[in-house]
Amino acid sequence: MFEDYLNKVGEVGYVEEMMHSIVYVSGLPNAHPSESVVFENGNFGQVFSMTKDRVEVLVLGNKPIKVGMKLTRTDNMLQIPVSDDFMGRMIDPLGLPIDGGKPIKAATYTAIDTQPHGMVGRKQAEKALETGVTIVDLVVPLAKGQRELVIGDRKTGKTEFLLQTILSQARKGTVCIYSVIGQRMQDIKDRYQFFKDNQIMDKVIIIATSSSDTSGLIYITPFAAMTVAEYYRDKGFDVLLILDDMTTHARIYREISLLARRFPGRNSYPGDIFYLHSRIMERAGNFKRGSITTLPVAETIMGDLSGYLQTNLMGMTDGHIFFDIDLYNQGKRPAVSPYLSVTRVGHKPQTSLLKDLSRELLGFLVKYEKMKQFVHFGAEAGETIKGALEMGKRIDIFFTQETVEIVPLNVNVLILAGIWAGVWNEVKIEDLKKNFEKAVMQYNVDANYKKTVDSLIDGEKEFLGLVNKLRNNDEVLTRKF
Amino acid sequence: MIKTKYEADLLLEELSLLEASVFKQAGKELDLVLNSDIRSWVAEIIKKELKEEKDGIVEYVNRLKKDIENTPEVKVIIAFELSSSMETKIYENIQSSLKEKIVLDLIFDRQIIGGMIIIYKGKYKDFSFRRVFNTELDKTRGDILQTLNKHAV
Repeated sequence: MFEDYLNKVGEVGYVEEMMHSIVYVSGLPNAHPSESVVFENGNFGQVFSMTKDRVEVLVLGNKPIKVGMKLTRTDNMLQIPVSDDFMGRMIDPLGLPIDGGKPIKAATYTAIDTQPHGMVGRKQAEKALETGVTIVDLVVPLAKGQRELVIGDRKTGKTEFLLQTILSQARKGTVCIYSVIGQRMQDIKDRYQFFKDNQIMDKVIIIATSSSDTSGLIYITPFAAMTVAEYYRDKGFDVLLILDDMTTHARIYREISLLARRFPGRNSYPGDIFYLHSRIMERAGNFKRGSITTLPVAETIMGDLSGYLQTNLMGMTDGHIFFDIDLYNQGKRPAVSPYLSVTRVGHKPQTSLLKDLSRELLGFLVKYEKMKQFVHFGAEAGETIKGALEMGKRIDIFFTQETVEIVPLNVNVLILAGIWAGVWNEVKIEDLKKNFEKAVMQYNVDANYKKTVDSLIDGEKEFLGLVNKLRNNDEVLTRKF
Repeated sequence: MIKTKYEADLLLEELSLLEASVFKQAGKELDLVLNSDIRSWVAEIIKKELKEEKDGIVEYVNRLKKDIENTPEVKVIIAFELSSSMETKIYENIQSSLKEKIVLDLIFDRQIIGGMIIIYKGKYKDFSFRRVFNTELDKTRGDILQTLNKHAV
């Protein structure tokens, strides 16, 4: 390959100096920024910047580079192969399989850093994206094409939520691209196994780099993932893209920039860190043909949402789902904070019933939180407060969810309306979850029951209307399944 | 006249010796080095030029070193060792087409079979037989395979 490019372009460079994943090269007189280069050992690189005498190259492959090694330009921006055969595979950002499977034949080659789609090809969010996670679907709903930041401390259940979302969406036929950025190889393998065990791998593509890969390769991971997402979007698919996680990506870019002697800015991040991430995010959205829903992940430290990167990412997304460490420590699963989470376009495609429900529910949750604090001070609670606290407890149980459990939206609505209507007021708190699970199970396995529930919900425009219906006749929830 | 990188490196070494000797034994070392450690014809030229030098020997040596180091290098990859006349011929040919002072870095690589590869300021020109053969082989590969298949037992 090296010889082919060398003869085609007719330019050669020599490695003069090396600094981890950055190499300085003499020669290559006509190199241009972001152009890909090939080393004589087959390694790829990308032109990072240029001086009068030398070219700064970011090494992408894992093969060792030595001083004096030859390299040549390709006369192309960095491109990766894309193919329908990517579906069900685990690949690295250069399109090479890392799942031990056979090599993938490229359908076409596409540049990884492209201009985002203009306004003409875009349209407003029209379809809801069900995550299968009750609290998210009811309080912080998402829409197809939305860019929603998933933010929280380490080990607060962010990844579990993402896996649930993939599970839910893959079963609905959405193309799911899970981009793992510089994580442990064992974790990557575990995720792969999770998708295989749940039989959804045929709808999932994993684009992964582990922490042992070169910084250059880790750096291009989200770009490559977005490129693959765009390939499927252009074919008319709805794509769910998960970027796990952007704080690691920023750390890697900081490392590269500091090695390249770029001027450090706030927290030593380079000045173009916002531009780097927004360039990726802007490529997502809802389009006239297909959509790319992006869930970038950001880590916080001690629940601090005001960090540099965190606020940057909030500024370029359409809301965020906050995983609260305090809620996690209290035993809430998932630990999503309904008060600090935001969705900007998620309500748009919702039916009036769902909009009404969200409003009522959030209003109640705020009231419930205040009441809990009020009672915490030892104040004597009246009947109304006691009733609200009791309902709050039941809603907490309703929100509690296993990591592999997917709850369809309509059954969520039905159960919540049931709680609101006091259908299970006589049932002990400990037995409540079983009742909910029975309804979910019945909805999933019994087509007639599903039809009944769906028509009940579709025929209602207001949440309180549905609640009243259940007050009058709760047979749909209390029947023996 | 310096033609090759080997010659340039040799001269740089001699100039370094000369520079080091300037301050040893009140200048007596300089004559010793010029007479014994440096090639005689190089020493003659240096002596001659030093007589006309106004800035002093250190400046003269530094200027020379800088000149040599800044002379652009042309890498020439060839399949066999060149005779002196061949070396001169190649040097003159390349210099006349580039129209600037150059130094040849001659590299021997039998794998190119014949011809030469020239690399100058990052530009790469492959005039080797290996390339010619590879191009021809690419063109006729199908025919060769067909012929072999036809005659296969």
